[in-house]
Amino acid sequence: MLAREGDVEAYREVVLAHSAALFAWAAAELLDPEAARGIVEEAFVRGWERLRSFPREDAFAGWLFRTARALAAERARAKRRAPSRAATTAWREEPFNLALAFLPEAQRGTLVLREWGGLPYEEIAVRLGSSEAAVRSRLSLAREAIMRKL
Amino acid sequence: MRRHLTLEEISAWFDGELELGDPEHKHLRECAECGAVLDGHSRLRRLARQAMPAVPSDAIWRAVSPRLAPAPAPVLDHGVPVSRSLVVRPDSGSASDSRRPAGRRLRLLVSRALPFLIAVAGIAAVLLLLPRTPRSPAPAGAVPAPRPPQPAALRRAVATAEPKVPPGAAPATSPDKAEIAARLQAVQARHGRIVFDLGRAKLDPASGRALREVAAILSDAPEVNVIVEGHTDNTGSAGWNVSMSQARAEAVVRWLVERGGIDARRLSAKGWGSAQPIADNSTEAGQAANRRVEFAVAGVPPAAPAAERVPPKTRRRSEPADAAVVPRQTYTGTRFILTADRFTTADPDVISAAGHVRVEPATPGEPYFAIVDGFSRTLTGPATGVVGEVVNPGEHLILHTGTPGVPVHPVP
Repeated sequence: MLAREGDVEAYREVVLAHSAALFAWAAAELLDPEAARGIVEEAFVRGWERLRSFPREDAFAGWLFRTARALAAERARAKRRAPSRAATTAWREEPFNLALAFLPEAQRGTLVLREWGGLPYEEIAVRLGSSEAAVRSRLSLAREAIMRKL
Repeated sequence: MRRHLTLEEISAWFDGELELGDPEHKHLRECAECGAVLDGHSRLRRLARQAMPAVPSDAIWRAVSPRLAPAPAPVLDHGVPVSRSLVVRPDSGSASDSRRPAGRRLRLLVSRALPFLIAVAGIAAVLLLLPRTPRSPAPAGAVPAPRPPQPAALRRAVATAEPKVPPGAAPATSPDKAEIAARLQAVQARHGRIVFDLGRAKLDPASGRALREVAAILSDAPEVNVIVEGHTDNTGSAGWNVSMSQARAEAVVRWLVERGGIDARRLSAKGWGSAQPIADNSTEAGQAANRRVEFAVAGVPPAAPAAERVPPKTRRRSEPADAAVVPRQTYTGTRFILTADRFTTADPDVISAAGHVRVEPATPGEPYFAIVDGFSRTLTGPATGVVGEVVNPGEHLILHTGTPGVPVHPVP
């Protein structure tokens, strides 16, 4: 992986390859695409510094998600202290997104990585740090739950 | 009304390998009314597609790429980093030169040398023309100004921009700290905030005007030291914000030293991160207001006669071997414990001048002292027994310790 040796152009490929799934996940998690973008950017900036310590790209993908999750949690804590009304956008009012908010975190992440990120089961498992069987079962539960809401 | 897909149509998607009842395709079911096969997820997929946010991959990369630090230098086995400038790259131009015919080689040489020749000719022309340009007559016997040309030009630029200040007033009665602080604030109010490239510590050229005025104000008040304080909004991690604000404050200091001609010893940088907001971080406008650089007027160095000030290098050579010379900026916001040894004072101003560091006893009565944080002018503990000696006010704090070998050690 050239990016590990400090090749910025190679890292661009990495960013483009992982941004869609990561962004989809963060947008669903925060229900705020603008904030999600900030988190994704921060995760990629940190990833550049850490890239050398990952032997394989899928390990890096998992790390990116864990970092993004930590950043999202940090942001959620800050939000609780200072709630803002700006995040209530039209996008948030979409029925699908409203229904997403009611799903448990693991199911929500699995569903958006499948439906928005278009990832196969095994890659969802790598990113969310679970097994493929768990991904299948969560996906099934998430679909049932969300269709009940819709 | 939406038509249900037939089994054949759906089966075509699966290359004819579809069987109802197969656990792989249990989401397929028959319609209770018409008997057609329904894809139970099709509605969910449609709704999901409608709600799917547009992925700004390119925009993400555009925002990320300027923030990427240069890759660390490759490290040899024995742990010595290799300087990037030493990496030899194959030079295709020179290698192919030898294979070129002589005529082409000459043309190539001329084409490469031409820009240099033009530049040399330009410089020569300027040098020839310079003495003929009319100059303002200097008074007889006047000593040429020792200052570098840029600050003088800057002061002139600001003198024209600020007609309120009479030109002769500043050197005669030096303005006090409060007035300097007010003028520094006014500069930012007039020109807007000092702006940086997004996510970087690189100054935006638009900030040049404000910085030129700041440099001029500082040139007019040589007795005042200034702390350049960087602040961020609350997005991003605290660690990132602190390092970014520190880097930005240092960028401003660098500008003022290199381009504004201000003595580096008078300036210090402090990054506060998002710890000192001035507006509500929950709104965009508030965040914008919080991303700022401020100038705080710090301690005035003790009025020592110029003759007594010894250049730091000569003094340092005569220092004992266990003296730790700590550059000012390295211990900003860090906590150190040092052993008291030599320097005794009861004058808080002297302490503040000693590298602009607040020093207080860790435990009263014990010979341990902690540098609590940088750039504060107050001394909370008793002043006697405080270590540190002013070598050159504002530049370095030399810490003498009674324990050779471990002169200064950070406290976790």
